[in-house]
Amino acid sequence: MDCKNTELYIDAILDNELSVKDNLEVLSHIRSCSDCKEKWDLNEETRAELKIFVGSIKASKNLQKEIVKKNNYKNKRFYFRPAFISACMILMLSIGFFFNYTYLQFPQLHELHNVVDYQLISNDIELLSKHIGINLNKEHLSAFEEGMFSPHGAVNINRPFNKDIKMITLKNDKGHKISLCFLPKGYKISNLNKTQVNGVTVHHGSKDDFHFAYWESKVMDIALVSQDLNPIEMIDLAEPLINEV
Amino acid sequence: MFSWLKRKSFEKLIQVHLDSLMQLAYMKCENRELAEDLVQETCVKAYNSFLKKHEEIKSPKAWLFKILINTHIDFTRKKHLSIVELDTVDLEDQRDNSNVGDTAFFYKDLNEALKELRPEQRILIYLADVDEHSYKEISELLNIPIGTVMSRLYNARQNLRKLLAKKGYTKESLEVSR
Repeated sequence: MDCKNTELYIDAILDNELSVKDNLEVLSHIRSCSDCKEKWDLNEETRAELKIFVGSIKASKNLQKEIVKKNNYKNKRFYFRPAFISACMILMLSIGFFFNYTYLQFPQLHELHNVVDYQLISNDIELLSKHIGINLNKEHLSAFEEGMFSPHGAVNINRPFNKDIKMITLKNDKGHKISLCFLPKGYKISNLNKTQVNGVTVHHGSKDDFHFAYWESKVMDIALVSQDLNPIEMIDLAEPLINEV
Repeated sequence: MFSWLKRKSFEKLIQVHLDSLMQLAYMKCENRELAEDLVQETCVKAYNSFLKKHEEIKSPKAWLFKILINTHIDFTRKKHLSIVELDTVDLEDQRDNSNVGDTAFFYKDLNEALKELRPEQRILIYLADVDEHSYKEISELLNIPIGTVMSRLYNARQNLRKLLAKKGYTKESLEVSR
């Protein structure tokens, strides 16, 4: 082993990349040659200093925190988004469902007819009409009176964000009942027959056990509902009322 | 594995190798601030990759180093980074009154000598001399043949020695500086 070869091998020894046999051979030369020994020492020293110097470069304490924060945020954002969107959609659907069925949709006429918890029970039509805020008098209900139907009770069905529904119930001594409903404009019942009464189109029909008749006035829709009288009978009774209220 | 468990094990992994990553990044960027940015970016990429294929990672440190090296390429392209100035050393103004043997000045000179090396030589020196990777590992990490690793490493070391010698450092002065 000469000095030139030894120089080439010094790094390989320090890198632990030389075989044991070559290792021993080179080290033996280094021990006997002061020039090579100096090169060996210089390389070893440089390497040691480099290790100390570069090894002294440490990540700041904040760096790890920042990394964890960044990845946590990314993680949360990744999983949070779909959860957040789903929650919003569920909330919106719930609100939509709630308002649609509870507040926005008109009650069915038979549901109105079945209302029994009257806010005011009286056979005084003026008192009842005052309660619901509709200008009704005895003349309007004269045909009902002739048919032995007299006022029984009144109710205001208050609906949030929507106009109220008002109703007066009339009964005769046989227990037959007619509900006179004052509905906000836009109440539609499909598949009904039409009849002209005093120049007003009156829609009428039956569904299940209930009979209906309704017409539109300038500010509201007015409906009659009964299980006991057919639509034509109801229209006859309501004739003075049509086009008057 | 649950994602939170993966996150925890990734945090542990980073905790163990963060200093090495920082050192490699420093050797790449020559600037602490940029090095920290590079490490952060590397960790974000590593985390995404870890979530998907943590089971395939055999050598976490080599895997992290590889990501850092690739991230640095993107980083340089994205931010149009050239090699920037080294962190300044506070003792700059006092140089005239000091001796070559002073430890602080030695490290400043060593830092400057490293700066004068080409980046790929710096990385080789870091991987071989500081982080003690084998030639095979370096070859895999940098995607170059072992022979190239050996010859480039030899040249890098020779250059570093010459640069230090130019600054007046000999075996004795190095021993004194320690």
